[in-house]
Amino acid sequence: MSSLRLDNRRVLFCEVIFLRLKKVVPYLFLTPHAIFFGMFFIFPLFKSIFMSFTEWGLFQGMIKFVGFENYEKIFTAGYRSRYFWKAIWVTVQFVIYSVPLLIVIALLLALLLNNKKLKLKNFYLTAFFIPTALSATVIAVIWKWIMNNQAGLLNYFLSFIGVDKIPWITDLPWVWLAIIIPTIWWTVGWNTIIILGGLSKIPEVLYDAAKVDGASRFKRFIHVTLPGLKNVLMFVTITQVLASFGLFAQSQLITGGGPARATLPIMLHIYNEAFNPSRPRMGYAAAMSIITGIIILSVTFIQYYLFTHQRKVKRYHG
Amino acid sequence: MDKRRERKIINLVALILAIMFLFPIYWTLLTAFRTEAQILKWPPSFLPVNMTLDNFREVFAHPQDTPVIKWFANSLFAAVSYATLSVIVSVLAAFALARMKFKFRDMYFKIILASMTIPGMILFLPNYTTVDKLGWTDSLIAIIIPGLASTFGIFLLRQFFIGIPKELEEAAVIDGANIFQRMFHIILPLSREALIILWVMNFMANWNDYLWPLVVLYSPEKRTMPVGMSTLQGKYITNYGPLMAGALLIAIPSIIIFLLVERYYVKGINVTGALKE
Amino acid sequence: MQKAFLLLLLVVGMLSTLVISEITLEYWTGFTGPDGKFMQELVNQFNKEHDGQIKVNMSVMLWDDYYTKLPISLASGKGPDVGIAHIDSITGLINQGMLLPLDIYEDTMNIKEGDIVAPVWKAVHNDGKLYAVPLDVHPLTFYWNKKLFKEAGLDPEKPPTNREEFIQYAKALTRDTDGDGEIDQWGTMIPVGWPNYFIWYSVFFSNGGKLFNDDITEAAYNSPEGRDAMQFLVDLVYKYKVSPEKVQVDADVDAFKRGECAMEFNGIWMLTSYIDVEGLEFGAGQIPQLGLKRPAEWAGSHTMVIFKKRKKDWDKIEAAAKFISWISNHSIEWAKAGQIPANISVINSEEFQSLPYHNNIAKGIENVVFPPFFDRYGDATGPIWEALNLTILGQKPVEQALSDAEEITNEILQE
Repeated sequence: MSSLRLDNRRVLFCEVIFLRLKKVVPYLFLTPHAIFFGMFFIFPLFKSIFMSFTEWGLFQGMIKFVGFENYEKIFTAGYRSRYFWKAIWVTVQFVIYSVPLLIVIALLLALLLNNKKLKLKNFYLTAFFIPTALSATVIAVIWKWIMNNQAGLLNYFLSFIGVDKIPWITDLPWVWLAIIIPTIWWTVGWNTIIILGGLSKIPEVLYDAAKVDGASRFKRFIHVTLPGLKNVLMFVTITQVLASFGLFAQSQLITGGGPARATLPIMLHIYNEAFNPSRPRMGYAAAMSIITGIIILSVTFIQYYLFTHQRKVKRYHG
Repeated sequence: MDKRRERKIINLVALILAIMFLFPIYWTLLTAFRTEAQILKWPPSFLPVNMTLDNFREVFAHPQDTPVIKWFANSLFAAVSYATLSVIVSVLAAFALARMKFKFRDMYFKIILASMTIPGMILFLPNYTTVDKLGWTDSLIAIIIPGLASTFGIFLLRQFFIGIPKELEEAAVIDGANIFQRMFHIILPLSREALIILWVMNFMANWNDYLWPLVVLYSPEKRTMPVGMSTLQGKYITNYGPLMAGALLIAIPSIIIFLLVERYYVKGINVTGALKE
Repeated sequence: MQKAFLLLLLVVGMLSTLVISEITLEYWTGFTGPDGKFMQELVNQFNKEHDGQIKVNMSVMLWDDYYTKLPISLASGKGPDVGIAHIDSITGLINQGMLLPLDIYEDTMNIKEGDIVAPVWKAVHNDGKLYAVPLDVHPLTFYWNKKLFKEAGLDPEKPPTNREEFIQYAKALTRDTDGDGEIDQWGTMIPVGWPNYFIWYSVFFSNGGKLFNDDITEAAYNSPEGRDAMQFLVDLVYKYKVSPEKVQVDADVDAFKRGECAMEFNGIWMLTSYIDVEGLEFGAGQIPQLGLKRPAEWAGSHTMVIFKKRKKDWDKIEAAAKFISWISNHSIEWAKAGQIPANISVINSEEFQSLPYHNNIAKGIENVVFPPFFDRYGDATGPIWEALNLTILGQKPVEQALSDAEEITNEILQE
């Protein structure tokens, strides 16, 4: 009699432990990610704010608290402020010049690839997509050679149209192309594939219906294709804008930010200031990163709002 | 428009574009196999004649400051390690978020969602000082571990796991399977393709990363291929022969790996695009 | 008994040599160019001669990376023991507490005041203490294409010596050689970027200009001397038209190699790569006096330093001093890499004098002018580079460019 009760109790005990353990298991599953997420996301988020209020001396390990001094340097008149805002403006320019091109060209390429009359679709897809497999540095080096003033390929081809040798890497406005053209070559494949995926999701029936209504090719594009791609285009635009704010390698390696900072984007400026050989200014660089981050966040939200708001409006008007 | 003519035009345009896209790579190849005299010749020629291997010999001849093979090994080790570890971490977290019920589940997921809006730029410098304090600078750990905080994979896999019909698991539960068995025998086999896609995307992202390795790895023999490219650029400047040879050596593994995994990579990008809808 | 004792002594002796193991030194440089090869050979020879006692591991990286990684790696305890410091970086390194004073080793390193080129000697001392051992002086060098000189009817052994001659020669050397109406041979090329600052600097100091005021609180380069120097370079492009516009960085090097640029300004470090070009008949020497007061030229200098580490390892420091003095004594080998040794005795030696080109370039050493070195020198002169680039591009007039630069420099100096 007593032995039975002992067994029951033992079973109960095991079940309790089992249930308790069961509760812990999900947390165990989350732990690996939580550790890394905490260390390399949450913690640095706060640390960066802390750093921005210091003069962070790399070598002596000295951390000198300087209050709002770094932010003052950004917002009050002075050469530092000018350099910062110039770098922001350069970055914004890059976004304005490159993103529309990256989307329009990707759209055109996707339409081309989607055309049923195309043979060897996979070959062409691969051809447009290969550059994305390369690192930004390889792109920069290859294109710097192609855009060489004296002996470069681009100027050679241009000489056929009677155009004089263009100083791609040396002078405005050509330096912008020196950054944008390699970027397009590099990134457009990515966007093309996303848009292609979006195209394939547009139901064939919509096109058929439009054809029956007598809509021309162009009209079909405007009224069926574009609306159908709305979500995809929004996604591509937002991510492309976000990525463009991080412009670094092309400026560093092709134009060096020149001439006179005309193509020096904010990421490169932050890098130069943080790792300045004669006087690393990490605290100031952290402050710049935060301000830039806020700007980027705002831009993203504005974009998101514009896109979704537009959709609501369209729905209302039918 | 005449259907035949349209077909011809479309295929012609595609061909021209493809040639334009591939030409820079061909040009790099040509330059890499040429002597300096040929390279500086104007007008340039486009035929692969009179090839030389000297540029490649030159690039390999300086393991002191440009150990190209070491760079490849470093890139490979780091990318494989990162991709594998990242997939494991993501699977565990995604599974918990998709299939388990616990108190903080929704909150954790919301935090992850919110985190995806924060620009990475803000984390760059503090992460650098952290890595420095930990003594991880100049070692491959620095380009493997910090990236494991990534939430992209979790997001991807969670969506996928949620899409797997619950009935399959319920049958297994009735049979007495525990959590681990459910995961290994049901969910994972079904998610095989998603896992490969995630692995491939993580691999490529790590392989091509430039700014972060540039900052945390400074010994020549510790560097990865993208950083090595900028080292070669600083060294050879206008010596285009060895420079293009170096670029080619660094590009080729990327291209080969890409061709092998293209299928998954393309699917992965599509899935990412679809997610946002 | 005695035999056993001797055996014990022998064994102990052998064991002790195992304990006194080889000292390994980490040596960092930025010699990624052809000069790197020469330095590596020197290191190899040192290691051979000191086999079992000292082994030096040389790491090479780009100069930008080198100076970035130096403080970072030393701070985390991993950095090098001995390395190269450019003469304009020494003050910054001292101020960051990274260098070990070398005065205790002056005797063992055999460095004497009279033997080192005077401006260099001054620059390696701080507070009266020696902080760096000069390895070389690398001046801006004047290169000219002898064949093109002959074709233009100029004496290939007599390069121009002052501004008028330079402009004259340049005009004669700027020609349309194939009759297609386009100029394809240029007297000179002024690039938009590196190393145009050094050219400006040479002309500026040749005018008698001063970069900063005495207590380095204000820029002094927005002066008639500064404006004249910058205008001269701008005029070469737009007024005398002896240089093409918008010359890409290093395009002057390419053009000189191809025989399309007759006179070129670049560092002595380009010497070996010009020597390597087959069929290029050229001369190399000091910069002509392009200013109005005196001959002057820019030069940098590589010095060797010992780094202060958290834990002072005296054995390593001594080994490092030995290494430095060995290299300094072998600076003739280093000279062959395209440098002028810092030791006057080596310059005057027969071996050096017999090197092609070097002795001619070395004649300009007495005209070398070093700017005042302080840790923000790089930042403070950055605006001048920008101003120079903008004026050579024709985007800003000289007066405005220099005023704008002066404003920024003053802000930096007064921080």
